[in-house]
Amino acid sequence: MTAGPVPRGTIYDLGYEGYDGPRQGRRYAVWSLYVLSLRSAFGLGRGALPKVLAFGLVTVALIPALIQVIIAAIGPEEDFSFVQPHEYYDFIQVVIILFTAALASDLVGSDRRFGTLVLYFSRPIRWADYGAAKLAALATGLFAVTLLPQTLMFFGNWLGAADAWRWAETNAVDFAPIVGSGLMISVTFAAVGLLTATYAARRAFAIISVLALFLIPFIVVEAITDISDDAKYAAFASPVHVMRSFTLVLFNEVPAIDLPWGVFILAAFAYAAAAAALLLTRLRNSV
Amino acid sequence: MTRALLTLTARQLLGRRRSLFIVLLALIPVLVAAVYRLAGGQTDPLPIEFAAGILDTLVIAAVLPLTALVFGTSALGAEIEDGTAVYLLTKPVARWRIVLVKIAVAAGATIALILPPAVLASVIVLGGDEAALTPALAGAVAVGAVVYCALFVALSVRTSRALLIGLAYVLIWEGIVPSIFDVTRWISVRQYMLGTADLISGAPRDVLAADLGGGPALIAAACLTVLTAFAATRLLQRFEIGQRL
Repeated sequence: MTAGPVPRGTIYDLGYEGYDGPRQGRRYAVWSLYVLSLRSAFGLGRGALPKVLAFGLVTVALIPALIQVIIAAIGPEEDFSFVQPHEYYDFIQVVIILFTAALASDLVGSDRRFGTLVLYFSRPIRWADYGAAKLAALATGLFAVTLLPQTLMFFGNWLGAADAWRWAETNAVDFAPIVGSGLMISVTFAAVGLLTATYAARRAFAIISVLALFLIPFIVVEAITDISDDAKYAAFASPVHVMRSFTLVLFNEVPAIDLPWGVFILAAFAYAAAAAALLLTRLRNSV
Repeated sequence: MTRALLTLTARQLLGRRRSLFIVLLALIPVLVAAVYRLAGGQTDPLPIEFAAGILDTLVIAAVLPLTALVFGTSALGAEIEDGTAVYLLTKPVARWRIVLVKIAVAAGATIALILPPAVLASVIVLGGDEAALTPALAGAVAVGAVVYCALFVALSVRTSRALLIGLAYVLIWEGIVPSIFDVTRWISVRQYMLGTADLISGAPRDVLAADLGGGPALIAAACLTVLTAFAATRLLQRFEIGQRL
C-alpha cells in the first residue's frame, strides 16, 4: 500500500493518449498499400523462397537479352541478332505468365485467406483504391520481366554496336514500341491475373487458374489456327495472342492473323480496360 | 491399412472442384480434335500428323504434366498443409508405404482422367484407322503419370510451394530447355513419354519427334521414379510434425 495522494482513475487509466500528429489521409494509405504489395511481390520482407522464386523468374527473363548483348559485344560478327525486340515476348512468355500467376495469387489471395482485408478498410481507402493499388503493384512488378530485359537489350546493343550513331539511326524507332508493348502487356496481364486470382479460395487453385486462363486458350489457338481460315478468330479468346499481335503491330511487323492492324490495337485496349473494370467491380461486390 | 490409405487418398484427390477442373482440362484435346474433324477433308496437316501433334503438344506437354502436378502435389501436400498429415504419420505404417500409396493413387487418378479423353481425341482425328496410336498413347500416359507423380509427391514433402516450383519445372525445363540444349533429353519426362510412345507405335521416329529410343527412355524413367520415391521416403522419415506452417 503506497502512501500519498491517489491519482485519479487508477484502475481504468492505462495511459492511452490521443493522436494529434499529422494525418496523411487516403492518398498516403493507397501509396503505402502499393509499396507494401510491390515489396511483398518480390519477397522483400518475407521469407527466402518468395525472393528466390521472383528473382529467379526475372533472371530467366533476362537470359535471352544477356546472351544477345554479350555475344553482340564480344562476337566477331557485325549485326549479330539472336533475338529481336519484337519477338522477345515470345521467347519469355512462359516466364511472364508464371510471374503473373505466382504474384497475382499472393497479392489478392493472402489478404483474403488471413482475413486482413477488413484491416485495410478500417483505413480511409475505398474498394477502387485497393484494386488500383494492387493492379499498379503487379503491373510494376511485371515491368521487371517485360520492360527491364527489353531496355537492357536496347542499350546493350547500342553500346555494343561498332558505329553507335548509325545503330541509333536505324534502331531508335524501336524504342517507343518497346515501351508501349511492355506497358500494355504488363497492365493487361496484371488485370487478367488479379481478376482470376480473386475467384480462387486457395493459393494452389489461384495459381492454377491464372495459368490455365493464359495457357489453355494459347495452346488451343496454336493447335487449331492452321486448320481453317475461320479458326483465326479464336485468337481473340487468347490474351497471349492478342498481346502478341498488338506487339507486332507496334513494331510495324505483320501479325500471323490476317486482319487489319487497327483491330489488334482495339482488342488489346479492350482486354486491358475490361479486365481492370471487372476487377474493380468484383472487389467492390465481394465482401 | 494400405487399403484404407488408398481409398482415403482417392477420395481426397477426386473432390468435386478439383476433378471438374481436370476434366475440363482433359477435354481440350477432344475439342481441338473436333474442330479439326469439323473443318472437313484435310490433306495438310495429314490426320496422322495432326493426331501425333495433339498427342505431343497437348497431351504429353500440357494436359498430363498439369494434371499430374495437381494430383501429385496434393496427394501428400494437401495433408501436410491441412495438418491431417499428423494423423497419417502417427499411424504404424512404414513411410515408404505411405509414399508409394500416394504416388500410386495420384498416378492412377491422372491416368483415369486423362487417358479416355486422349484416346477419344485420337479416334476422332484418325476415324478408327491407324489404331496403333491408341496403345502408344496409353503407354506414354502411364509412364509419364508415374514419373511425374513421383517427382511432385517428393517435391510436396520438401516444400510448401511445390505447385509453383513444379509449374516452373514443367514449363521451363520440360518446355523450353530441351529445344535449346540437346543433352537434357536424358532428364526430360516428356522425352521418356515420346520414346515410349515411339517404341509401342512402331511409327517412324519423325512422326512423334522422339529424341530418345524406347529402351533407354523406359530405363531412365524407371531410374528416376525409384530415385524420387526413395528421396520422398527419406524426406518423410525426417519430417517433423509441425515444422511447416
